[in-house]
Amino acid sequence: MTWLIWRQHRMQSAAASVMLAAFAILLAITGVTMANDYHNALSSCSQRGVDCSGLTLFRGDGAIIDLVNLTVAVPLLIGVFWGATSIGREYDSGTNVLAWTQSVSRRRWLAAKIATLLVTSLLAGTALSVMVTWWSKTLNLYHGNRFDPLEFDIQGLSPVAYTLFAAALGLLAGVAWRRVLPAIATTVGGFVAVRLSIENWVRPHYETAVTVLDPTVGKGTPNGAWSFNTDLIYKGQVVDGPVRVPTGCAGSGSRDAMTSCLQQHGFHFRSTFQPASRYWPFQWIEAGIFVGISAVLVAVAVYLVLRRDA
Amino acid sequence: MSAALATYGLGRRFGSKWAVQDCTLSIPEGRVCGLVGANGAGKTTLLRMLAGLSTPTTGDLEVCGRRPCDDVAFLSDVGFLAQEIPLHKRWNAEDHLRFGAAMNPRWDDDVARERLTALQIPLQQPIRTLSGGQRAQVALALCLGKRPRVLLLDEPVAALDPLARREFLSSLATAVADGDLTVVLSSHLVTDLERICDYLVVVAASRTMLAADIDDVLASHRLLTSARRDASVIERDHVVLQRETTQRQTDLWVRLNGPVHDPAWQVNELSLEDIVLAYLGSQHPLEQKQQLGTVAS
Repeated sequence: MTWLIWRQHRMQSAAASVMLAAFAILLAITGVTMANDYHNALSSCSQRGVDCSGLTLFRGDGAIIDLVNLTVAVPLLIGVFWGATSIGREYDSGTNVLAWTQSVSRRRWLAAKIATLLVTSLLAGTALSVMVTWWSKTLNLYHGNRFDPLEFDIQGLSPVAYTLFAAALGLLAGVAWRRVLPAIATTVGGFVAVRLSIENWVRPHYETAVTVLDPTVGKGTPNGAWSFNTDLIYKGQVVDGPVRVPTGCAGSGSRDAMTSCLQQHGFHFRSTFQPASRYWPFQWIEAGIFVGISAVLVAVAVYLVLRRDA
Repeated sequence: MSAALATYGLGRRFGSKWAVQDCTLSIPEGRVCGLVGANGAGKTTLLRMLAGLSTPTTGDLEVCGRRPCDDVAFLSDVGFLAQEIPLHKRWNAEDHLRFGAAMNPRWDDDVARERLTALQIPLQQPIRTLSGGQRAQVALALCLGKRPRVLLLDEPVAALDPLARREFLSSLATAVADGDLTVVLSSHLVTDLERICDYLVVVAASRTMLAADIDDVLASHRLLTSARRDASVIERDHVVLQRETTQRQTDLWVRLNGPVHDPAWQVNELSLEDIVLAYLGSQHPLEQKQQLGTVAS
């Protein structure tokens, strides 16, 4: 079995290693440069006694930032190129029959194939996540938004769990369809559907969102939090559409004075968010959900391969 | 003589359609058995069940004394060559030999390698660049290098041109000439099988029609011809597989259970192909003798 696994996977492993290495070099160079730029800018603005919040940095690094954001699609690529082809291509070309009529049991063959798929996917996903998480440190400090969906999806534990999920989904699709092309289509559709559903409808509710009325700091949401919305409330109702500012408040002068004037007239701001401290619990929950789904998908694939005819 | 393969009331259903039904047969050890039947008669399903690739719906079967299962002892006794001749298209023949060595404890590298060398098959060329005949030879070498006790070949020559077909069959004949390997070879062409087989199984409409030694088959089947006359006397003693009645003449394809006493019948020998065609044309399997009396023309 070892020989077969090596012979079947040596090309894709080599290709993946080269791509990951190239990406690592790119990120190492740009990551160090960005960190230096940021710290130089911070120290120079504090020396000059200027407010450092208005720094404009990394404008020229748009391409590399986009490239890193695009790694959100890497789990899907692994699901398509490794997962869907893993056993799907064997069925498609009939080589599963070739393998199952040698002197190695189907169970052992299956165990080796699945273990190879999951371990390589896990390694690739972890390597990528470690790189992106390290590289994003500067941007996280600068923007303070690692809880926002796109950043959350490419850093920490979640991309590793997504990779596992994509690989398991591709595996099952290949087993169920016994053909590569429909398996790829199913993997893409299934991955996007599950990822978006959980991101939009489940993830915001891992814990009850915090609601703050009339936050003292101007914008309301603490730094690093995952902000959902900031509403204007009047007499317990969310104000939607144009607001008629009460006479008197319009000419308050300063912004703070206007806010307190509005509050006296019954207007309030309400902001809803997940605080930054919940970042890691959310990462663990998200990863746990996707690992759980992956386990179910793999179990179904195993059942189908062992129970159905060749 | 012990049976290398035996099936008892074996059946396999896909949805509501039976691919193989009520199949009982046994093939003695060391024989080269031809499995004949029309397309869709259930040959492939039968072979796949024997190889452990398909699970029977009903009945039982034994290959080398074991029921097909997912363990090394069974798998290493059985060689199987599927109809599509599945090989890794991007690998070369050398890779396949290494594959065979890595996947089979009883692997005989010399046997496989010498075959391919003798046939002048390039070992370093990707499989997809080889001809159909060469691919079939690579697949056969893989099967033989495994040193199975039973070799199951599902229409291995169906896709080959006449020359490659002949080469494949003669190289198979050489390979199985000595040794106690039992071979089951399916085809829908009797001429393919006549060359190398000494045992014949005929399946039609998912049922087994005949399973016997080819010499016995040839000896016991005759074409009876006479001026138009009633066949009921013949039907009482023998099995009429098929009949043709014209205004002047009656032809009966018959499996004899003894000599034909009535001198009015002219007794002619039948070729293997004629016998097989008579079975494929008839509706009734060997076992259901009592029904044979009702064969309609």
